[in-house]
Amino acid sequence: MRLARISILSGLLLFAMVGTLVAPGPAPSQAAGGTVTVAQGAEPATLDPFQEISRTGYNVTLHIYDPLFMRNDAGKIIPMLATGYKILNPTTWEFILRTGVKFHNGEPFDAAAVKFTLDRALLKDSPSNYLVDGVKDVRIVDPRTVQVTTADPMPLLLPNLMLLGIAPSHYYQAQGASYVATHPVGTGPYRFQSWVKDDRVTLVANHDYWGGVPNIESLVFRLIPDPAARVAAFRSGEADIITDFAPDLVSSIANDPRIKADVTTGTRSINIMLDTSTGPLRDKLVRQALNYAVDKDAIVKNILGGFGTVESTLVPAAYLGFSPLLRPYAYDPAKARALLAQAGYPNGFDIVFQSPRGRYLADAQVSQAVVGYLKAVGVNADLKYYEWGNFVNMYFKHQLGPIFLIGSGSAALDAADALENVSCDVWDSWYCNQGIQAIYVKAKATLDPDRRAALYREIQSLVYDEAPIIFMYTQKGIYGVNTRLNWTPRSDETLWLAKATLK
Amino acid sequence: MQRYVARRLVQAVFVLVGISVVAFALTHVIGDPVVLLLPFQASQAQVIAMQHMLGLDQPLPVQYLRFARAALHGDFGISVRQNTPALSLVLDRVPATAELASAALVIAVGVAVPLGIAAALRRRTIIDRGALLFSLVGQSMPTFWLGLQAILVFGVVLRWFPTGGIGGLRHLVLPAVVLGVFSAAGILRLTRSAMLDIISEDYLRTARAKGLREVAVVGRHALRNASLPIVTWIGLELGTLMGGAVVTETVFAWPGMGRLAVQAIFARDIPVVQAAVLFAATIFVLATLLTDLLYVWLDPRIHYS
Repeated sequence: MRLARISILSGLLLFAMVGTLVAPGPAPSQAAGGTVTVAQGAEPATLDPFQEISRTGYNVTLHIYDPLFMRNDAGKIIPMLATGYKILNPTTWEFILRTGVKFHNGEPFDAAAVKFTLDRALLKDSPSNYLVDGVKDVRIVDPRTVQVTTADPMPLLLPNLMLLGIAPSHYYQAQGASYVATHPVGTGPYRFQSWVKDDRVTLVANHDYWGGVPNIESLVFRLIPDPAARVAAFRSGEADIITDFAPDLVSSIANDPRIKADVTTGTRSINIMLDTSTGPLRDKLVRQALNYAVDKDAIVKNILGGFGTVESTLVPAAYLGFSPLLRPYAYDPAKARALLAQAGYPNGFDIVFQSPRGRYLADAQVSQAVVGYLKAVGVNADLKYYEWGNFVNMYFKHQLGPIFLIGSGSAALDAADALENVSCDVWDSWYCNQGIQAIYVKAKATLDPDRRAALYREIQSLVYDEAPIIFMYTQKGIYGVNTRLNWTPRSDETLWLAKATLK
Repeated sequence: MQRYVARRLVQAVFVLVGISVVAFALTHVIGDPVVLLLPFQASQAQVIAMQHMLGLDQPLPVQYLRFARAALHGDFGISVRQNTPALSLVLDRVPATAELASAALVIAVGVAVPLGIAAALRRRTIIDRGALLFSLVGQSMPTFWLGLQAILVFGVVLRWFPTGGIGGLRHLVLPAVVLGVFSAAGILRLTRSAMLDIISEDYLRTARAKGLREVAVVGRHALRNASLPIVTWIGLELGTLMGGAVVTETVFAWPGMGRLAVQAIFARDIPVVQAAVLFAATIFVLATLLTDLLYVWLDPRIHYS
């Protein structure tokens, strides 16, 4: 008996020891006034501005590095490291640079840094190449003037440059890319302090910042991969801002006055691509039928909790060139059947449908819902899921199709990026219409934003009728924001805290 | 004895080489990392340029030999995603992984062994049934569910512990307990059945007849003899835990090796996958070797030649 008691007691002793750690104390202290913690679901793989091109990465790096231009909260382009620009001719831009700016290590900012940055981004094996692809030459005119020549007129150069942080050429070349990846130096409002890999990046305010010292002294970017754990950290006050707030958890914070969910129009557009080169999908009527067959409102309401906007075009509303005139295809299964019959498929047909799983919000459920709607009009879709890495591999090998779900998003906020999916330019393309392509090429070379937007709208009206995709929705961006912070998220999904204040 | 250890170490080398070949082949079969690094707008020329830069356009055996030669010098290549040496990425995670693994194991052993002994000694009583219930529930409960519940109750509602991340001792408690529960369930079962096997042995009856107190009977005689399977299991558990506990690490945002390895697999970051797999395999091999050597101390009848 004593023995059993001893055994149990030693087990209980362990619990007691744990218990002493538990002294219920005050809530884990709110970050001391002056520190704001942002929790994201992923962390940057590297702080090298050329290597890291994910949204979660930019959210960190754009505090350390300044680009030449940025958008303000109203969407207007504002000068950053460049104070202005001139378009000398359709293929030559001249950027006038800000003077008196230094990098965090004291190195002066000048045209050499800009040339170094652009040249490096242009390297074929640089992930940032997509931002400057089309630039032919970068020339230093004088320490505060840089001329950039493009092969063809490139209206997206300016918005694309908003994502390219300017790097210090001497520091970068002296230390090497590997070192810069973990010891970034830029001109930005925040300096790099420390990075505990897979845990958090800590930045401190740059007291010599040309744009004025930020109000918040320190920023911590934490990584909390699990969406529910992220919301838990938000509720407990450990995180002041969270990104990718799971829609089904938004209601869990309804009764807490200290925290709120902010919703933006979003830039992530989900669409179902159709391979129009084979089978029944060659017929426009079939493609339109598929659009009538799916109840997109129901999908947004029930699967996304209402946090989405049904689209009539694959261009999200926040983009330049968005066409507001088109009404989304209505949910009309009878009409879908009629169109299918008219096209010669009164009994529907069989087809393969590929979907990623876990890559986009509720992607698997959305695909399943779509399959259900298609079946109701006689189209039997064989749904296959793929892990994202495999899916991307198949995309690049053009092995996807005839139907697949994919998302797109762009920080340039220009319709060209979205419309590329229905141009002839994408990897042998799943849809190629010469008429639309001609307008697309013209639009891409039109520097004047209003004329470009008009061309984009023309394309969208044609695309709407041609229905080379099943138009689905744009996801709303949901952020959790603690009310002690004066900050609202932006529709272009750029998270920038340099001007934020604490109440 | 020294010959035995030497022989085991040589075997270990062969095991590790075999594992490295398999890991290499598997990661290559599932695709290359380039398309995951580039945006959809990337051109074919860019994809090819990057593949060339990473040496992925070479035939597989050439790539493997290059990898093996470098690995012998401790160079596992540069992480494709993070542009830092792969081995250093893995080694950076070791302290965090070791902290979580040892804490979980200490909790597991500290709970399970006493409870298992008690259950064996008090068979069919409420202690026994309670222990078996704990074991069943512990092994059936999904870690992510238990973890999220723990975060909700202790992190959000009660605010006793942080909801995640690494830091001081307080950050360690929830993940270690959650991870430990699963280990504990298995160890408890094993301890109980090992003790039950021993309980009715003749030498115990003799010891009691000699007048030894029950504590000495169980502690010095019974437990010592029952300990072989228990020690084996604990050794394996340690090896497994050191390989990383992906689910616990994900739920609690704990920067361990499990999560690093899984992320590397999703990103097809071959150098990191190789480094992580080989590191975990090495730990496992060493853990089993140590366990085998421990037998000698526990049971003097065992000796190796």
